[in-house]
Order: sequence, then structure tokens, then C-alpha cells
Amino acid sequence: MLSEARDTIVALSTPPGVGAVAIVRLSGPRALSLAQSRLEPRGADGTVLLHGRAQVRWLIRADGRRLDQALILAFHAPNSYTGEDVVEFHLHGSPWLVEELLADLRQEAVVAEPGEFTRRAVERGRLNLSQAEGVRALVEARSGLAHNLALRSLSGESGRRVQDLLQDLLDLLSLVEAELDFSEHEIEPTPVAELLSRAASALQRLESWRASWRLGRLSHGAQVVLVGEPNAGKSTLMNALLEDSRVLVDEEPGTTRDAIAQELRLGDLSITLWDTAGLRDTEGRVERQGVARTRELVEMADVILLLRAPNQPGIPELAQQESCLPVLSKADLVGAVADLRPGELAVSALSGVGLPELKAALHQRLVAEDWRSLDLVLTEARHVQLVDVATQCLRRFSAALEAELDRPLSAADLREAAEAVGAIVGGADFDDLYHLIFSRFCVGK
Amino acid sequence: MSHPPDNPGAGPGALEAGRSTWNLPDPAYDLVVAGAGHAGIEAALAGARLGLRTLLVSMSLQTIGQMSCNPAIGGVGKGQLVREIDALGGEMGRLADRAGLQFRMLNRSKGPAVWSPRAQSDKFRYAQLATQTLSDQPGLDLRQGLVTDLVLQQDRVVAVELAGGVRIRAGAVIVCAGTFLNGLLHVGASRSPGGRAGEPPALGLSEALARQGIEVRRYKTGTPPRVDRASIRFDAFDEQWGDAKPAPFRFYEDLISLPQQCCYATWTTPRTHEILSENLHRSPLFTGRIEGTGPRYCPSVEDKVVRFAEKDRHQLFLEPESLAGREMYVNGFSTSMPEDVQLAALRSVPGFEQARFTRPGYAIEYDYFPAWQMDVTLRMRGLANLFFAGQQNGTSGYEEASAQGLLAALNAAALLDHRDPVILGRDQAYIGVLLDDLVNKPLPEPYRMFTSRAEFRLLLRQDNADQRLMPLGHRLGLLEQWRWERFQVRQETRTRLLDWLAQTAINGRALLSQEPEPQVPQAHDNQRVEPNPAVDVPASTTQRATEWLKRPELTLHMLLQAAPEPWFTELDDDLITSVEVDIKYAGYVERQRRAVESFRRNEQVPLPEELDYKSLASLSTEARERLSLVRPRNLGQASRVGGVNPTDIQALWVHLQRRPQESPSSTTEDAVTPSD
Repeated sequence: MLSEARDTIVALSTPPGVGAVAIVRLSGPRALSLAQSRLEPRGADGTVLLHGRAQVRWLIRADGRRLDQALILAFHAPNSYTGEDVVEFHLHGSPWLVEELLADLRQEAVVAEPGEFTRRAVERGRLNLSQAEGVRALVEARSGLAHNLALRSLSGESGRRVQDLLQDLLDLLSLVEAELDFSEHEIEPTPVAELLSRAASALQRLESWRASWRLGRLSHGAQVVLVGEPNAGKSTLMNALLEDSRVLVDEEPGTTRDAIAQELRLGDLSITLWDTAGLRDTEGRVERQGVARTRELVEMADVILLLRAPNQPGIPELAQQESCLPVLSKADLVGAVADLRPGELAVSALSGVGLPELKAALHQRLVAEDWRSLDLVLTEARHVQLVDVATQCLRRFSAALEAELDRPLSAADLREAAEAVGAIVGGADFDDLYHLIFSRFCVGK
Repeated sequence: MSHPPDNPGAGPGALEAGRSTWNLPDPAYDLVVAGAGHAGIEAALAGARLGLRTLLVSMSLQTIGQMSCNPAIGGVGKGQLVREIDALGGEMGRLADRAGLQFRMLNRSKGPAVWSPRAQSDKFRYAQLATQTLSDQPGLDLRQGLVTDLVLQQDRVVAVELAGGVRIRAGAVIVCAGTFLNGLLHVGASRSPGGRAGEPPALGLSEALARQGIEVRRYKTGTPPRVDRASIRFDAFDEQWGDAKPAPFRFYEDLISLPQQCCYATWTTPRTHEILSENLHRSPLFTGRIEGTGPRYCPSVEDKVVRFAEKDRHQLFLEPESLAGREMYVNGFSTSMPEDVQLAALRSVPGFEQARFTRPGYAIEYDYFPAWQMDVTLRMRGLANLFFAGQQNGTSGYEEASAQGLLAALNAAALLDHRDPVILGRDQAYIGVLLDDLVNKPLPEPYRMFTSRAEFRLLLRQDNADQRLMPLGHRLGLLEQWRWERFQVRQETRTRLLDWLAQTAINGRALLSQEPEPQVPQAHDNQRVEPNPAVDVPASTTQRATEWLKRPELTLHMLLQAAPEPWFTELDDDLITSVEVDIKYAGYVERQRRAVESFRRNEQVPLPEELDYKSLASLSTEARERLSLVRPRNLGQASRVGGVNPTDIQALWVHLQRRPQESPSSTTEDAVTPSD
């Protein structure tokens, strides 16, 4: 919690449980003095905690009893993660030790709330909003893709792209506003074609960012759904992909009656793989619910693995979908290959034939483009929403210009677009407009 | 601070809290207004009209309501202010109409949301009418004198002290000193103290206020030379006439009566620029003799020549200053060059070969009090009953000054009557935008109004200022009764018109058969795309008038002509424009109204007056400092304070949620979240 006289906060920064090392972190105005009071020898000259210098010292409780021999690392404000004084205790990774230390420090420091260290970093200006989002994404990254995109946010690279666009929009707005606030004697009107082309360039960037969400959302985990008629071999394929017998399999059609999710690592991607109830008209109430759930999953899937066993008709209406990757299962059956349809991948979960090809095709389908070359990849739903608003406003702006509607209407759209883009990085400053206007135009009678 | 060290006007240091040994022969006033410029006039009239015993003190009772610079009222963004002042029951619109020599609706080609009325004024007539109006106002006394000090008891001003030592008791004081405080005039290398050409500066008061810890800074502004009409060859210029049908500033009453005059347009020449460039070493602007910051939107001609060296000409306008005199104002030629350079430069413009100055141009540096020291009612922080209005608050323009004078007086009256302060929202009026910007933002230059400063511009229009503000003017008791009655009748007519539009079916043929609307030739109106009803209108279609009106090419006038009704005679231009725009802009207007709603959410989260920002460690250092200075009234205002970012607002909001529930108006229940 934020408070007036800023608290010193403490928390375990490594995962709970047994490990080689556990790191407990202190941040706040009393971090240094509190740490010094917990080190042996107390009060002697050697207790000064220098910035960025690691020391191995005996860690003691408030009453002087020894707790652990630990590595102590101090960072002095403002050159720390939070911008405050920070001390890290690297303990031996025993949950009991950690609990003892926290209980002891809690007498003089408060337990940090989730994300509070990063929030303090933002408040102290050590990180901007977009970078903080990058930190969270980095911590949560479960795949190479997520990790890479988070690094981009953290480095401020994405933020700079957004700032560039914001600057371009404000520049465009200054051209439009200048004509509204000054007479034609003072301002040379900007040709409509130029206004339109500037808007088009901004739109183009917004649209490419929007398209990048297809990729960016994968950093939160891709959704891949196995779909097919009963007994198409979905559960068997799932187990094969996971290289584990996680799912119950049986020759009895309709064995899987509810959707089951498992995590699958595929190269730099983290995938949530769904096994589903086979699609068929059914009398069974439970199975009917399972089928309904399957249809929901199909809606949200990034890729549908559409399975068909040899001689099954398949589900043609799904096969048309763009997200669909058709698979012929049980390729080891006699005569199976004769039934292979164009575009289908033949896979045998039993023999493993076709599995590597399936994995490659799946990865290719999920990450078609080389994201490293993309200008910016949106990874937050909040940003996507703002990009959508800005896009909409810019389209209206251009349409109104072309239709020669009143200029103040176009200006209103453009301002809204700039507000939306600004909100991604923490706000647009419209007072900049006057600087832009006065530096470009000789106004004033 | 660049004040002259020896300051003859600085009287004895009467600004001492707690002095109680003084005797006052003079009668006491509820309100004392210091200064009789545009802010002072508005403040004094409003005070008296609201029933305050009011005294207006001016250094000279011969120079009330002067137009120190251009002889014009209104303009883009400013005309809206004048109409708002009028709708609240202020005086400026009435004065400008009665003294108007030429009226133009600016921006007519750019859409009604930015239409802006402007009028050339007869400066003598304006001053005379202002003097007359003040003199005729019951409850208002005028007094010549220079306020040099204020007498304090604790945090209250109890009297003003005039040069010579006379003290006048006051319930509240509004300082409207314009450019007079330690004014310093520059023409070339020559420097002379003055509040305006030919008039002495006001000395003493700045120092007295500075002793109270009020921060004083310097701005500069300038004015062009005035030229004898008889020395000008007018056939070298283009004539510029006003609108054929002048639109008054004042709502519901047309007081335009002076014969309308012509203005003239021309251009500087390369020779002009040469002369100016060759003499920059003699310009006080470029030699560093002027230290104050000037407005970028109103550069001197030498500044234009330097900063826009690639332009080989700049436009000039010649404007008459009065019917009685021969002076012409050379708009676009503001300068503080030595007089010989000014003259040589102007004479290089065809038509001015024989020009004779009646007065040279000059620059003036003056004291101003950064308005972040005031609250949004223009009351100085830490002083319970001292208000500041006008140019000395860091603004420029007669209209900005008047608006402040009016609001300061409304708030002084509210203070004395123990009523709630009068605060206009950014969503309500340009005046609201003006005061909100003034007290919240760090201002890099004298502040002037632009329409782009109003984020809800589509709602704040000159045509609907009456609808926005007359109910308030009436409630405050400032708006005349007859105009309030007229307003109500008009609102009924408005509803009737809206109903008629929603219900009347019109066939396309009735519209097609019309000639394109005979456009009243309007000045400035060379860009407007001629409406062409033939385009795209399926003749056989019959639909509601409202639907027709949404087509860009159709006007309300055309619909009214297509199906005339006798009661249409009750409709006036403002009413027609406001209805037409509301319908044509409906989608946008609706979006701005929704934006207003979300804007108001933060405006409705009050910040406690006693909040100690310095102790809020969760705020950035800059935010702590700025918020401690500005002390915003609510979260919305806090978000507009310069140097405060969204994280700070979030932190403030979190802090408010965590405060002990001491006030009944706690907003926790409403779960109001900051919108940024």
C-alpha cells in the first residue's frame, strides 16, 4: 500500500519452497539501517553497506541470535531498482530460514504487496508505464517469444515507437488546429492531400501494430484445440504431442466428455493444448455439454487441429476455417494413406510417424511471420483496445476530410486518436501544439 | 527581479499583519477594484450590480476603458469569451456593439464550431461609453488615485492605501493593474517608466505584494505605430469591408449603430525586411535590453523578419481607431525599433511613402503574478479576500481580462455573501478553460485564448453561449430580468423548432426547386464551399426535416423555406445556427457529451484543502511541489497541473481511498475511478 511517510517494504523475491538460494529484498528509507542492525558484528566499522558491493556476513535476529550466513547486496537510492535504498539478502534456500527472517524484519518493515517493488520503481521515475508492463511480462514469460517481447518493452523500444507516432499525430493536429485558430492571412493552409497522406502513414503503423497482436497475444500462451468426430484419435494424439499419457484413451467413442487442457512447449512458444469431446449429435446430456464446450473452444482457438480417422467423413464446415490445420490420424492403419485428402497431414500417434512434421506445421501456423523484423508487437489487451480506438478515429478523420465536412469535426477525431495513442505511454500533452504551431507558422498581427 | 532599485512610489510598509492603530475617515466599501481597464470595468460593474457597495480606483479617471493596443474586440477564441461575458450579464459585448465600426464573423468558412465574432472599435467611443456606464451605475463610486499598498489583518485585506496615505476600508479587493505595475516602455535604446504610452507606471504595489511572499515576474508585449490617416495613400491597399449583416456580440439586442468603416490590407516588401535586418543591433529585443518574455503569437515585425527569414513579405492591416480622430492602427507591425527605423521601414511599404506617425510603436515590460499562486476563483492563496484579474495575471487581450474581472467579482460577491464560489467548468465555457489553464499550467508566455485550448470545443460555441450561461447569470442575479424572460421564451421556440424538424416530412422536390441559398456576402468568406442541393438528393424522397438536415449540403434555412410557417419569424440567427449545428454535428456532439461525463468523474472527486502533498511519498517530487503550490480542488484539476502525471493521479486517488472516513462526502462508495 502507498502511504504518506513511505514504508520500508520487505518480501521474498524468489519462489517459495526449498532451493539453493532464497532472496529476501528490502526497499525504502530504512532499508540500509535495518539491514545493518541485522548483521554481525553490529555497529562496528565494517557494517557500512557500500553501493553495489557484495559481502558475505552473518545474518542475525533482532535479539542477536545467528540465523544464517548470507550474501548481502546493497543499492543506494536513487540507483536501485525501486529508486529507494534497497538491500538484498541471499540466504540458503530453506523455507524455514526465510520465514524466520521475514518474521524478524516484519517488526520494522511492512510486507510488500504483489508488484509493489515495480510500482515504486514507476513512481520514482525509474521505469515508465510501458516498461513496468514489460517487467511483469518478463516475469511471467513462459516461452522464448514472451521473453523476447517483454525485453522489448523493458528496453523502452516499444514505448519509443508509440511516442514517435504520438508526435506525428500531434504534428498533424497542429496543422489542422493552426488553420482553425488563425486566419488565412497568418497561416498557409496545408493541402488536404498532405493531411491525408500523414494520416495514412499513421494509420498504416496502427494497422500493422494491430496485426501484430495475432502474434503478441501468443506471448500469453497460444490456444490450440484438437477437434474431430468421436474416436478420431484426439486424446491419443494429445498424449503423443505431450510425450506423456495424460489423457484417458479408449476405443469407445465419446470417452472424452469434457475439454482438458495441458501445457505444451513448442520451440519458443508456450501452447495450451485442448483435448475436446468429439463432435456429434448426441443424446447424452453430459456429452452434449461437452460438445457445446468444444464449440466455444473452436471460437477462441489460435489453431484448430482438425482430426479425422481414415474413412471418417470429417467436419467440412470447420475445415473451411482459416485457423484450421487438418490432420489424418491413425496413419498406421492399413489403407489409411489412400484416404489422405489434399492439405491433410498424415500422423500416427502410435508409431510417431508425421509427428515432427505436425509440430513444425503447427509452429509455422502460429508464427507465420518473423516477428523480430516487426516494428512493434502489441502484447497487452489494453494497448490493443487503444490502438483500435485510434484507428477508428483516424479513419473518421480521413473520411471527414475527404467529404469536406467541417474541420472542427476532423480535429475532434484527430485529438481523440492522439489521446488514445498517448494513453499507451502515459498521456499526450496538447500544450505542445502551440510550440509546433509557433515554430512553423509566422502568426500574429 | 529587474525592478529599479530606487522606487519612489513604494510607501511605508503598511503591509504588516495585525496593525490596528489606524483611523479611516473614508466610508467603507464592500468591494474595492484597483484599475479601470477592461478587467476593472467588468469587476466594478458586476460588484455593484450584485449589490456590493463598490469603489473603482483608477490612476486617472480620464483614461477609463482604454484600448492600449489594437482597436478591436473579439477574434478567434476571444469572440466566444465576449459572448459568454454577455450571457452572464457582463458589459463587454454591449460596449463593443455600441462602439463597433466593423463586424466580422471570423472562420466562417471553417465550420460553426469555430465561428468567432470580431469587431473594430472606436476607441474613444468605447472609453466614453465605459466611463458613462460606470458613472450611471448605482452603488458604484469612482475615485482617482494610485493604490500603493494593502492593509492586512491576519490573512484579510482590510483596506487599500492610496499614494498620499489615504486608506479606504474594503470587504474584498480586486487588483486589475494591467501592464501598469513597474511598467517600462522601450523604443530603441530609449527606456522610460510607463504603464502605457503617455501614462506613468504604477509603483509600490508590486513590492508590497512581493513582501507578502507573492511571486512577481516580468512579461513583455508590444504595439505597432499609429499613423496619420491624412498621410496615407489608400489606393495602394486592398479594401476590407465587414460583414454585410453585422452580428452583434450581445444576445437579444442589436445596439450596433455607428457607421461601418473600411479596413485596408497590404504587405511588407523585401526593402522593409532589409531595413529592419540592418538595424537589429538597435532593437532592444535583440540587444537583450528587454528581459521579459513576450507572446509568440504576437511577434514584433523585427522578430518575424528574423525568425521567418525565408518569407519575403508579411501581411499588414490598417484599422481605423476612431471616427473622430485621424489615427490608423498598423496591425502586423508591432515594433520596438528606434522611431527612425520604424518610420523608414514602414515607408518602404507602398502607400506609406509619406506616412507620418501619430505615435511610434513600443514594447512594454511589466510585472505579473503567476496565476498558480491563485485558486481557480482568482483569489490569492493565503489571503482570504484578495483577488487578481486581468493582464497582470499573465494573460493578454481585453477579452481575457474582462472575463477574469467578471469572475473575480462574482467570487468576491460570493465570498462576502457566504455563498459557494462561482467556478465554470472546462465543459461549460471558454471562461472556465481560461481560469483552469491559468491557475494550473505553467505558462511559457502571456496566455491568450485559442479555440484549440477548449477540448469540448464542439459544445462551447459562440451561438449557444446564452444557453450555456444565462441560467447561471440569472441565478447569480447579474443577468437583466428582461433578457432572462427572453431566454425562456426562446428556449420554448427552440423546442418548437426541434419538434417541427422531427415531425415535419419534406419532399426532396421542395428542396430541389429552391435556388441555392443566396449567400449574404461575408468578409473572409472565400473558402466556403457553395452548397449544392442538386447533388445526390433523390428528388422523390420524402423524409423528416431532421434527416434532411444531416446532409452536409442542406441548411436549416433551406428547410425552413421549403415548408414555411408563420412562427418562423420568431427565429433569430443564433437560434438557427445552434439548432442546425446540434443536429448536423449530432454524432460528434454526443461523443463530446460522453467525454464530458467521464471528464466530470474526476472533477467530482474533491481533494481536501488541508491535504499535505509534501508528505505523500508516493507522488513524484515534481508533483509534490506543483500540487502544494496549486492546491487543486479536485482530482480532475490535479490531473491538469503541469508536471503531474497519471501515476501521481493514481497515487492520489489511492491515498483518498485510504484516508479515514472523516468527511461525509467521501466518494469511496461511488467507486469513482480516475479516468486516466
